[in-house]
Amino acid sequence: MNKKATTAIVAGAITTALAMSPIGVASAGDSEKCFGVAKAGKNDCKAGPGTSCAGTSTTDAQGNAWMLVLKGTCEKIVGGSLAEK
Amino acid sequence: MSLADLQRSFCDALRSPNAPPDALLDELLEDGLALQRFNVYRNNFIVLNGDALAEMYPVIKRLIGDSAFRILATAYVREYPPMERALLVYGKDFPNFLASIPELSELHYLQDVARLEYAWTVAYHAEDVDRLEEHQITELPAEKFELLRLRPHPSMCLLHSEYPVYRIWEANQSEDPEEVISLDDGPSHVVIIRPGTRVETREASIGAFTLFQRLGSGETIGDAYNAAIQIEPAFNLELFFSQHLFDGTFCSL
Repeated sequence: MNKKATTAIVAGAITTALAMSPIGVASAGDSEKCFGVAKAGKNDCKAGPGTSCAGTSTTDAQGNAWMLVLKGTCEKIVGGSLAEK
Repeated sequence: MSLADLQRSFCDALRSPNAPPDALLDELLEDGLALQRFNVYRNNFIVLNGDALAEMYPVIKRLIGDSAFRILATAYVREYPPMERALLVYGKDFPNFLASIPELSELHYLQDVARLEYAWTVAYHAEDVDRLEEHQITELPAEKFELLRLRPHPSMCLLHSEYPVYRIWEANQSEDPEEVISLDDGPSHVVIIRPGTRVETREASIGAFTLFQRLGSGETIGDAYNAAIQIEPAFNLELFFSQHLFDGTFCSL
């Protein structure tokens, strides 16, 4: 594309964007972000339930056998599908 | 045993599925319960770090199911234990780890879905920046617009996949995904960004994707636009800027 056309297209596109931009309306950038707010259930101290033996009673993580039981929603995705049918 | 040796031995035993060596147990409190205490500690180490991984990768967990995810998480925690005190972004290597598992070798799209999930959380924790403001542009003459270098928000991650990973991710955000997705519906160009306080996951055209790539590497708007229309001749810059020039996608000049 020639230089002049690019100049005109970019100038036109930005001018349109400026014209369409609502002035004085609060944008997403105006909302406050609280410091220290973590994603739900995802603070960096994982020791909460772990200070008791919660993990021990619910899950046996010692097992290391490679028995992959794929029981999720993968079958809703066709074309790749599960290894075994 | 020196302190360094003790720490190394303890860490090695944490990551192993086998019984800890006697030399390590001898160093622990001798009340007849050393082995049980160690096993409780190790189990919590594996399970709780696995829980953190599950929160990072909820879609992967849904796709492969809870029990398969737990097995993989256990193996991952052993191979890639947390290296930082905070678990906020634990699981960086999980996409590559998934790709290395022979049993998952036919589920090629999993690692790209995992990359999307990781990028989402990294974007969530990315730094805040001031957005590009209208007055910063109106001060400039229009014929100079093409020479501007726009900086995308630092949270932005561009993800290209051969598979329709955006649709797979999107369908799994609801409780009961009914949608059947064909892998032939790919490829997918995904933009993950947090312009304000909310992370946005957007499916982009290849032209918009290219524009972001070029702007992100420091090119001028004019050069980036020319690259975009070469790859997607119908790419509409006017529409793109009307949506994204001032919505926080780009940083203050």
